[in-house]
Amino acid sequence: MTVEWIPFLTLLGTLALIYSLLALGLNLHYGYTGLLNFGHVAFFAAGAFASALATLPPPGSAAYQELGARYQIGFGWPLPVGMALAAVAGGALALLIGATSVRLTSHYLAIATFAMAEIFHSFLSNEEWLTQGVYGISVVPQPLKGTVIPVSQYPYFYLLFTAITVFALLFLTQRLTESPFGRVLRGVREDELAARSLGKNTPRVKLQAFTLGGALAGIAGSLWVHFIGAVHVGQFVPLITFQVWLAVLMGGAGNNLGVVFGAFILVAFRESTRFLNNIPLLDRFTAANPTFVPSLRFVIIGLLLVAIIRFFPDGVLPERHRKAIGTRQDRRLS
Amino acid sequence: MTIPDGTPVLRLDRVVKSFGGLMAVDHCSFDVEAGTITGLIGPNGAGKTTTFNLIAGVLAPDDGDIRYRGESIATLPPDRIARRGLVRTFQTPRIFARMTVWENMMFATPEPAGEGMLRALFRPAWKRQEEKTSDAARDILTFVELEPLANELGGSLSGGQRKLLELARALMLRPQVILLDEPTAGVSPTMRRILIDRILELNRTGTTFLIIEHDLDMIMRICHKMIVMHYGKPIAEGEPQVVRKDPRVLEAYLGGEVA
Ligand SMILES: Nc1ncnc2c1ncn2[C@@H]1O[C@H](COP(=O)(O)OP(=O)(O)OP(=O)(O)O)[C@@H](O)[C@H]1O
Ligand SMILES: [Mg+2]
Repeated sequence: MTVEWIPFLTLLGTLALIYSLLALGLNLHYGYTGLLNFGHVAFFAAGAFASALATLPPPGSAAYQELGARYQIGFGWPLPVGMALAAVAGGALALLIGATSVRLTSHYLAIATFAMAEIFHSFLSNEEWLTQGVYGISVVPQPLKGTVIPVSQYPYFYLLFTAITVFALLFLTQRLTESPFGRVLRGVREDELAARSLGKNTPRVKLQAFTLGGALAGIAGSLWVHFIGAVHVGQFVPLITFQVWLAVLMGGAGNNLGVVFGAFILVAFRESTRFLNNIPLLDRFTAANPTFVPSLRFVIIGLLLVAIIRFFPDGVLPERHRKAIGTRQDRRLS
Repeated sequence: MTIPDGTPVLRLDRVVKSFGGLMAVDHCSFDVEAGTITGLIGPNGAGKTTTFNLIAGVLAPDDGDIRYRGESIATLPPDRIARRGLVRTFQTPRIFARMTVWENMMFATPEPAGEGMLRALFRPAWKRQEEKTSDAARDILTFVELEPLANELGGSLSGGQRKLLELARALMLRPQVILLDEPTAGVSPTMRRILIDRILELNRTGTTFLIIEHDLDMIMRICHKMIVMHYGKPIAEGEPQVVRKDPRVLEAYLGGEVA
């Protein structure tokens, strides 16, 4: 088997960018605000379904007939509307979960978010009118594909589109976190009681951070669903949450560029495991046992995490410490 | 020493707080007069820190009322109490460990510029205010002799430096009343001197202090009025020289050990 490098790297880049966005959201929660969110995948799923349903051709329309589909909801709106609704869906779900649980202390919050994500998952599984349950929807629109952009070029176009979206959001997130607002978040992370005793409305601030991070994950869901062209509940397993955690911890919690880097490390390693089949000595095992590579994949990612935590305990790009800005004299001189 | 002004800025009126069966604060009433330094002393477990938590809004009283500048604050959350100019420090300092000393100070700014989600994105809307806040932060750090450590992490400070930083950070809110919970506990003699000097200096310019302290000699030297708590309520209050000779106080402090 020869490797087709360009398509492989394109796939890898797109996936890594989508995970970067998930990681930026979780970084707002955990890296900046100290919120232990173990239900991140729920916001991803909310965004994915919101964007899919918003853009699918309405049932009864000519396009719907042509697809031969059997889903029940579709609005036929353009992609930007789908992305906006994905942000709203991710943010609204985060607001809902946050409003009930963000006041919990850290470990209870971890359990509550995990449980709420599971509840949301079973909601999506059961409400078949909305999600088509386990069958899912396999005709999610991929805008411009085959019309403006030739099918063969589409992956490159989509990579570019994802890159522009994610970097724009990275820029905005960085703006937000390197501001007095970001400082309030970090104070809450360090010591919520002290922060509150210094006049900050910490419950509100936590809810804001939680909602914003959920909205970012929602947009990631939109990017993902139009990339894959299909959506079903089985895609949104807790494993995704844990992979995003790995990206954040490896890259550097509290550093936006760091967690993007972490997402790239994670996806690069995860996707590279497919080459395990090509390693001469291993192919004896892989041929006989189809679950060998998928299992080894997690062993490798686990070892990667251990290695990074060992050598970079605060991640590859640790949080930077903000030095004092210039004095009056400095400003007069400049 | 004379009490500068007789009007109470803070008034506790039969405040009650119990934890399960334990009455930590038991119908506790006292006044803190504006412009004074008031000492709050008492044996371990007397309910002093709980009283602070009640005043600062961390705990809600089971009964009774707490009035600050004539208004009840008994049901207000801690952040709103702090924004009104009543700020406290903690028995064990609560410094933001992974933020620099300078950022610890900046955090406490009462100016909301740039702390809102949307305005935060628009740097010109808050940059000037940040510079002003930073100048104030540096001035206060200089005042407590921590300015050379501005770029160190909070977590790298010694216990005494943390106590100083907590006081400095509280000053960023330009408070009228400061509650200090054992400000000199575990602080080296040099830093203790700085702390006491600064408290006296702030008091001369009008800041009211309520100070929990175990070092009786020190607190008696600096306070105008002393309140002695025992089993959740004041058993004596008045000028330090008088209170110190009060038999009930001697009993409270020595009774347990002698008996
Ligand atoms: N959150 C709480 N839950 C249960 N009991 C508490 C709580 N906080 C304080 N207590 C109890 O209330 C009593 C008063 O405690 P408090 O901390 O107010 O005493 P203190 O006067 O500050 O003592 P110290 O001088 O040792 O600091 C103690 O018996 C303490 O164990
Ligand atoms: Mg105490």
